[in-house]
Amino acid sequence: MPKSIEQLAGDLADREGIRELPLRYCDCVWRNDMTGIVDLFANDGEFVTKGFKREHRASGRDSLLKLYNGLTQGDLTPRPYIHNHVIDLAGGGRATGRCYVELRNLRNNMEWVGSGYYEDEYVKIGDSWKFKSRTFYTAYMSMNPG
Amino acid sequence: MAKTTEQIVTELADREAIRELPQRYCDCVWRGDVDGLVGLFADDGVFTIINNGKEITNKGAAALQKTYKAGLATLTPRPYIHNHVIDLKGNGHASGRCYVELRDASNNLSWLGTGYYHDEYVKVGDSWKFHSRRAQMVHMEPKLATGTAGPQEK
Repeated sequence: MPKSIEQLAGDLADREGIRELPLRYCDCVWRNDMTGIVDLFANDGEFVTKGFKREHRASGRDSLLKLYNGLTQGDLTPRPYIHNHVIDLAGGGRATGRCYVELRNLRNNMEWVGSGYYEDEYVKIGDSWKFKSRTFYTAYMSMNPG
Repeated sequence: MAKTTEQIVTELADREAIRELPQRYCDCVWRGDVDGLVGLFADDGVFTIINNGKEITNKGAAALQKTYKAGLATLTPRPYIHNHVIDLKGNGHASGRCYVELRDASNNLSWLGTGYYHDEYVKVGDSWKFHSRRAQMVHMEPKLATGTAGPQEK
């Protein structure tokens, strides 16, 4: 059965709210707004990195803030560009998505340092969509963040 | 005459679904999901690549399956899509153009080249599909420029 106008509008608003999350995430990284990044996550939100020498996992606001505050302490100050965001609405305030990122390094004349992708889970809290989890998979990195 | 709310929402939904096609196309290429790629096309969908003055066209699911399987294995491209513009034409048809950068998974994701797609979209049931994609390569590094792309010439 075709969706009603109300359903179509609801889906569109959800997709728009979700699409904004990775964009704002990049915007926060560019502006070194680490609190802003953490605010994009649910309170029990989780960030996982895979593809480096060891898996790293941070869960909850305190851990996330600690992780992101360390983001610019190494030789890499990442400046991300996000691409190819696909979204699957799961209903009931849940969704998943995947998007691809390129990183350049502010500390080295914006040299291109690598690329990877995020497997995301999103959750609707009140009227806002948040990251329930982000898992970053490295495709190639010439150096590691943090 | 001003559009009704119903028309506006329907057009937004159409544009959203169409916008997703090139994104999913890239996502499938990254993951090597050939079935997923072919599923984005209508049954009689056409893919054409134009590079170095040479034009190669494949039509229909079987031909697309074969050409994408060969092309992804040979080139190992990792695409990023940009600048997607969409023109709704009514009656379940639309066209668009978007621009792509390619990197090479076989070579530390080095830059492989860039180009753009001329797309024709068609609504099949409730879903939008590619009716045709014409990939015009603007610059390619030697890996593709030498003609090792894999797609079958017709």
